[in-house]
Amino acid sequence: MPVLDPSTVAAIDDLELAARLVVEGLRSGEHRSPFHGYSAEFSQHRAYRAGDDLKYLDWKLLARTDRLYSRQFRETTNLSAMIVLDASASMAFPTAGVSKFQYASVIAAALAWLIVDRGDAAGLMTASGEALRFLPARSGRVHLRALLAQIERLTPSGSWQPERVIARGSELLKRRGVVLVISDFYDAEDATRRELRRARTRGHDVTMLQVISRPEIEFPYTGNIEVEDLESGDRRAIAAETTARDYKSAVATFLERCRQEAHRDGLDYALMPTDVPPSQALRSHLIRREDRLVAAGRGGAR
Amino acid sequence: MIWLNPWAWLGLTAVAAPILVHLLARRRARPLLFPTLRFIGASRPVLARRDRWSDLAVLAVRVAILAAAVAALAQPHFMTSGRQQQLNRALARSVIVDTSDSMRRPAPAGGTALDAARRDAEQLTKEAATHRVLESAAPTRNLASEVAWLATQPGRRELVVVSDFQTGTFTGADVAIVPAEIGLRFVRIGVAPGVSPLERRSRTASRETVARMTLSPTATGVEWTSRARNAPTSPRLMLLAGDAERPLADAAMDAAGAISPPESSEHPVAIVFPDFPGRAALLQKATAIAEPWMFDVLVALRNNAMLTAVSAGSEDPASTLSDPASSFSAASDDAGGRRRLLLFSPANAGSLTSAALIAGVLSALAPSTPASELDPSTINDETLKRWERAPGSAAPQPDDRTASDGRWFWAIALLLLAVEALMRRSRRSRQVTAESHTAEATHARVA
Repeated sequence: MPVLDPSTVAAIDDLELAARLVVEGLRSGEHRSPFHGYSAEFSQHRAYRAGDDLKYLDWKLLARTDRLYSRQFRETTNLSAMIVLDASASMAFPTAGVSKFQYASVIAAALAWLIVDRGDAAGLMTASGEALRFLPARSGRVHLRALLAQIERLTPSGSWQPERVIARGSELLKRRGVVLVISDFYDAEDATRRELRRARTRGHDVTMLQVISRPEIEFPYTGNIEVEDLESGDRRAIAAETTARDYKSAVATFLERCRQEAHRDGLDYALMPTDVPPSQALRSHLIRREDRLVAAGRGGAR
Repeated sequence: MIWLNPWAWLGLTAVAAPILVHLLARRRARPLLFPTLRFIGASRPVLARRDRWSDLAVLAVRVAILAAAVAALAQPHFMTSGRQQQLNRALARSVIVDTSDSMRRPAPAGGTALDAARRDAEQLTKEAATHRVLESAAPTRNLASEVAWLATQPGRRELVVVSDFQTGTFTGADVAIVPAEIGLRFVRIGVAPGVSPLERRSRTASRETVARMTLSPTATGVEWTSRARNAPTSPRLMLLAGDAERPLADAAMDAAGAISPPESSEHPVAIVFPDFPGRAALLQKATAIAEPWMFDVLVALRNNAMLTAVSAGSEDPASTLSDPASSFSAASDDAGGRRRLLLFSPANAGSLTSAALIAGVLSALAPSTPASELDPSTINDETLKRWERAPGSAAPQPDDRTASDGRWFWAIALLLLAVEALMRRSRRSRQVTAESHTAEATHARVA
């Protein structure tokens, strides 16, 4: 399965198809799912591998066949994930090519597909303008399609409201689950961190997926430009060349701070530049997450 | 390289336009929608960004486009060696031969100075691809016409004056009339010193007095000779009349000779009166006049005041017009191996008109020579050398479209236009790609 570049994925009108393509590309990576529920229904046996928990070793089968097999369990509806998608106006950047919101939509759809495909429940919390858009975490294809349709109807506008979307999203998860926040995390930095930390303290597995475009990192502009804030509408006339160095330094500092504070708060963090294929960005993130879970002792055969 | 239309270079002032636009135009800040201003510090837009190399390069290309277009309009002509040789082979030469009276003086080599001048002129014409010869008693009066003719000729051009160059024949002001690109050459004809053709004759009924004046660089001598006058004879002027009018014709000749100087020309002239028996035969074999001296005689007769007055008051029914030319008809024939001017008079030999015609012919055959033509002083050789100049480099004519190599400059201008368009497109694409920039290396560094 070839890895589709961001522009190709964004050009696909059908978000479901785009998500499926991203997930198919993701599966070609042969990694194990990092999302695990808390219930166990026997599913199948597989050959024992060093490091497997001995409590899952099938002793009866060992006695009969003299071979080591571990028992695997199929997750039922034990995992609930809430995808918090930033649909603020700043996500509409860049106005040419693949916008951050398009990229974030594909990532969100792919994650939802991935979760529902495993029989888990996925929900959506976002805000378009002043209106909150919420879909409770449920499983099933019908719900997945409703979720994808909800994402497709979104248009970036308004401002980022972490105290509403993150707080409400984590509160509406009925039990411990996964909160996936997809945003550029530019605005309301303190409130965002506070809400993320609060969600974490509620026992949720919180992940920050920071979407950013290349021009935001490199500021490749020249000459005199009048910069207009997509959210506030404020304007500032600058000379690009003289501004670029300080700007790039400030952005790099900001990104590094996001990464370090996420790590400090026990959150998963991934930076997702929009010029990286979505499947590749997701795979990298999931592999790192899996490694982290294995290191934390939550991996294993499940 | 020669510019056929150098005035077009005035168009180069148009180069100031793009420079002024470049210097005076202010670049407006481009609007850019951006996610946040929190990382963008306050920095003042720089208005004077015109010193950037890219801008200067575009400006230089635009100026070069204009310069190339102006150069093309100036019609350049690349003077290759082949073209130069081709043009140099085409020498147009105008030769003015001085025929003033001073040129009638004997030349050291024999004959008159005018004869020598004509020989030299003929030789000069053989050397030129295009040529013409003009004989004039006042060469400077014909300079303008000769210059105008030379201006229409391709290749190198040269004006040659063949003269004895008496003082005053040619001056610096005359030289200034000739454009610099036209060569000037002066061919001096030597005149035997101390020889004066000036004779003043006067007659009475019984005596003829001759005042012979001789001028030399050092002295002026006048020799008077007086002698008894014989019956009027004129070896060159013949009066052809019938027997009945012969005495009247001789009387008219005698009367005319009393008031006119004796003819000194060697050109034969005959006046044919109506009763001459061979008049019809002469008319039949006569041909049109062709010799220059014949025209000179006719012009003198036309300007003769006495003949004009007599013709106007004549009661002769054949001479009712005041135009002296109506007093005769002119033709020529061969007489003794020489061309003879025949003047057929409609008036009887004894008429006043005939007497006036005879007197006019005698005057025309004895032209008076002004004393200035005897002036032995001449323009010195150094002055003539200073005025002389070689024919200028051959230049193609402005109206010769094939001569202009402007097409090469047009081609350069078009090429520069394409370069300028590419530079503008490149600048625009840099601005566009800035917004959708993808660089994996930078991504790796940041990620």
